[in-house]
Amino acid sequence: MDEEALIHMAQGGDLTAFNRLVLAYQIQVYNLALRIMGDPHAADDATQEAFISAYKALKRFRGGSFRSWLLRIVTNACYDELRRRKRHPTLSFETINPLDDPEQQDASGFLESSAESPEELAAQSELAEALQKCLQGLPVEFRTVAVLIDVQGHDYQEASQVIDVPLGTIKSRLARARLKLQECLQGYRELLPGKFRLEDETV
Amino acid sequence: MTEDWRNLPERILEDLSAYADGELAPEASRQIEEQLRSSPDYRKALQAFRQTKQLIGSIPEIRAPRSYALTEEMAGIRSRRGWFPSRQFATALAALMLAVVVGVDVLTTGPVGAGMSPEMELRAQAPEAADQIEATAELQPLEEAEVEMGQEAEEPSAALQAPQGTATPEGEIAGDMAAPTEAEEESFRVGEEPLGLAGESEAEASRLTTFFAERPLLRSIELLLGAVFLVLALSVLFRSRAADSF
Repeated sequence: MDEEALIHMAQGGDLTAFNRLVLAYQIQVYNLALRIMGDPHAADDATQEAFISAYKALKRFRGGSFRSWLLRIVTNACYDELRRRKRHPTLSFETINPLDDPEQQDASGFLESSAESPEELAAQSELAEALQKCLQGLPVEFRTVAVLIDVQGHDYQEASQVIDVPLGTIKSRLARARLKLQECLQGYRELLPGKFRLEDETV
Repeated sequence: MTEDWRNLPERILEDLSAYADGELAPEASRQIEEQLRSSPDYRKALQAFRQTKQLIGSIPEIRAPRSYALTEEMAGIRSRRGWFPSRQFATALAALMLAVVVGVDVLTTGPVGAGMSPEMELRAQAPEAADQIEATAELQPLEEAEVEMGQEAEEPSAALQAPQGTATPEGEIAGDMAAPTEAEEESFRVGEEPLGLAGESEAEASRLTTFFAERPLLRSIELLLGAVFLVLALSVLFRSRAADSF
């Protein structure tokens, strides 16, 4: 059954049809939440909340990309939670950010790789940690664009629909995010594969 | 190491970033390509954007830790109304029955119940007298007790004529502590004069027999209903909170 038919059935109150859509998109929704929040538990909450909100708002969905619509809902759920944490610093992002905990990263499956030796695994683990730290160091609006486009592979048009900003803003935010990430990753140059240590070789 | 390319105008950097994604308009792309042929900084900038994109893109997709499929409760569908409100009804019924049984207990055993506390005090203070009452009560046939109770009702003065002077000091203290009702005074006398007015004592003992015969049954019903009410109430409360959490 195609997506459009499932959406139509779900709009009529068919929860089974909606849950088939959930299963089709839950990985993308969860991963976006995980990279925005940087916290598996918060991502889990935001993902569940997003699907509940989506079901309740489904009758207002007027066509277009259902995936973009879902990603927009989960992005808003993440922004709401981040704003809430900002208002209540005791639950601030920094205090519960698990990115400094290598075990947490391993548990999240971040390091699934083809590395064979322990040294390679360790190097990839450290690189993965560095990448995540740099990503989390970005302002959230830059981070979201970088995740949507560079991590999840969406094009500018879809990213624009997800966060509801013009294409020019997507282009600008992405360039600035990449500049910041590149600068941050220079602090981990020893972890980068040889082909990524561009400056010394190319200058 | 130099990063002069970072000094390129912001608009050029944005175009180079978009060019790396193939998202630049054809005319702008042509202009960038011309600059790339002549400017090392353009080339370095483009390389930096591409490498950063590739590195960030190496962050793997994580499988979802669980299914996020909605339950009916999450979706706000109350399909389980059939049994949940029935528990609320059962709870209300159990509470009503409990109230009725307690009410009946209080009304039917009121006079004896009212005299219970002082009587228990006296039993503690004069155990030998209380033992005698119990012994009498055990031997008293029910019919005889009822007859004697009737006689007592016809001759209330018999009880009232009991000499106050025979009260034990403990009895007086107990009497002073709380102004005793008529029933309480009778109870005092039950404790005070086990060997004196035998007819009155037997009448009181027969009432106690009735009391002790009925009381355990009512207590059992009350306890049973109380337990049922408590379990149902906790169950309904727990279900309500679980539903609210979504």
